[in-house]
Amino acid sequence: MKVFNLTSVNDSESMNITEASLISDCMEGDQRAIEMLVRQYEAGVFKLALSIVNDPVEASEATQETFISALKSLRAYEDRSSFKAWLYKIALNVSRSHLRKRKILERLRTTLTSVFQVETQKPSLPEDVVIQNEKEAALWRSLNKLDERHRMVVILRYFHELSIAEISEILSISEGTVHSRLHIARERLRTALSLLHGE
Amino acid sequence: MTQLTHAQARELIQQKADKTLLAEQRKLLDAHLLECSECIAYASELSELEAILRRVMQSRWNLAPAPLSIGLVSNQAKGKSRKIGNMVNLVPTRIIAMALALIVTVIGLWQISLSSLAISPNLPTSAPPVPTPSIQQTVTHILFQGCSFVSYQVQKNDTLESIAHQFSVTEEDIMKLNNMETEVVKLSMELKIPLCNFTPTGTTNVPTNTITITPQIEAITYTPG
Repeated sequence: MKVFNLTSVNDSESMNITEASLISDCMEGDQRAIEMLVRQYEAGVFKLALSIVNDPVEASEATQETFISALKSLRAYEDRSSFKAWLYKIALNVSRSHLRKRKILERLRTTLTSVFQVETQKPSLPEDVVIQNEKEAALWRSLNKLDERHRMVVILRYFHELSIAEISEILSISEGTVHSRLHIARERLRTALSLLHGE
Repeated sequence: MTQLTHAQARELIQQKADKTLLAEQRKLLDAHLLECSECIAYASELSELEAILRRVMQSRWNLAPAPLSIGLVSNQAKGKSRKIGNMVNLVPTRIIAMALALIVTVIGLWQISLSSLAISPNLPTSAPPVPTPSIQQTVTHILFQGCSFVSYQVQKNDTLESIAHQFSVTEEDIMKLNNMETEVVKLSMELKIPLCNFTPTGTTNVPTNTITITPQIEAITYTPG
């Protein structure tokens, strides 16, 4: 069984009960319960944040913020179907706002540097991770060229291995929309790959 | 309905990738794939894409986080958090600082442009304001008063000397009239030639304004007016 499937409704009753009691313990401020909850999800939340902000330091900040605001608003969770989807939704919002702030800052920075005509180094992103071959590099570029709506579903589906139902809940869109966005994204990426083959 | 179109088959392949394929649809698709090599190729392209996507994102983002401090998280979740407040406030502060820097720069540039504008009006006073050519024109006008002019197009092998000789005028007069700085004449150059009426002999054969001129003029004395 996958660790992440812990929260799916149909998984197993006992798991759900454990998590429900864990959450209620957390609401009461039980340190050990909070620790268990955080340890269980921090890797997943961090990866989600990382895949959006693409910067490890900012991803750590976003992870921390996510858990803080999740614990603050645990009462709002109550009995939704998936705690993971709920938590990921928060993580997604936090990461997006981080990204927005960074974009605003970067825009300002470019404006200022163009005024001063000073060349500044871009913040180093983990771009220098070795990409094994040309195909992967090309696909990575095409993925980054996708608009946010389509890139997000691809990341959630293939990096976080989430189901269509989970993605639909996290992004607050219908399953049909998730499917059609995935369809479009895959077609664009497939075209990019086949163009590479053709060369 | 046992036959699928290619478009339907592709849609089913896409749904299969999303794991939303129903059992019946799966049967239909499998049956279609047995016959259709095109769709098999499509399906394999798609699964290759999925494999590379997983791999590439894993290689980029497969980092483990530093474990969060539980005490920090639970404390901040309980009360009003200072850390969060700082993080939220930091961004507007930075933006305001950058905006201020921008404003200062703009004002600075504006001041510089103003001061350079203030200096510039002084400059022309030292420079000679009246263009010299107009003086020269007046001079030539006075010099060649009472003269008529013909235009002459420079022919091959012509020199200023030969032209002057042809029209019985001095080289200097031609140069002055045409504002020439050197004695060099170029092929097809238009020259104004002064022909002055007050010559005593009056035998001047005034040519028309064409280029074919036979020089019949002899010894014309010319005194500039």
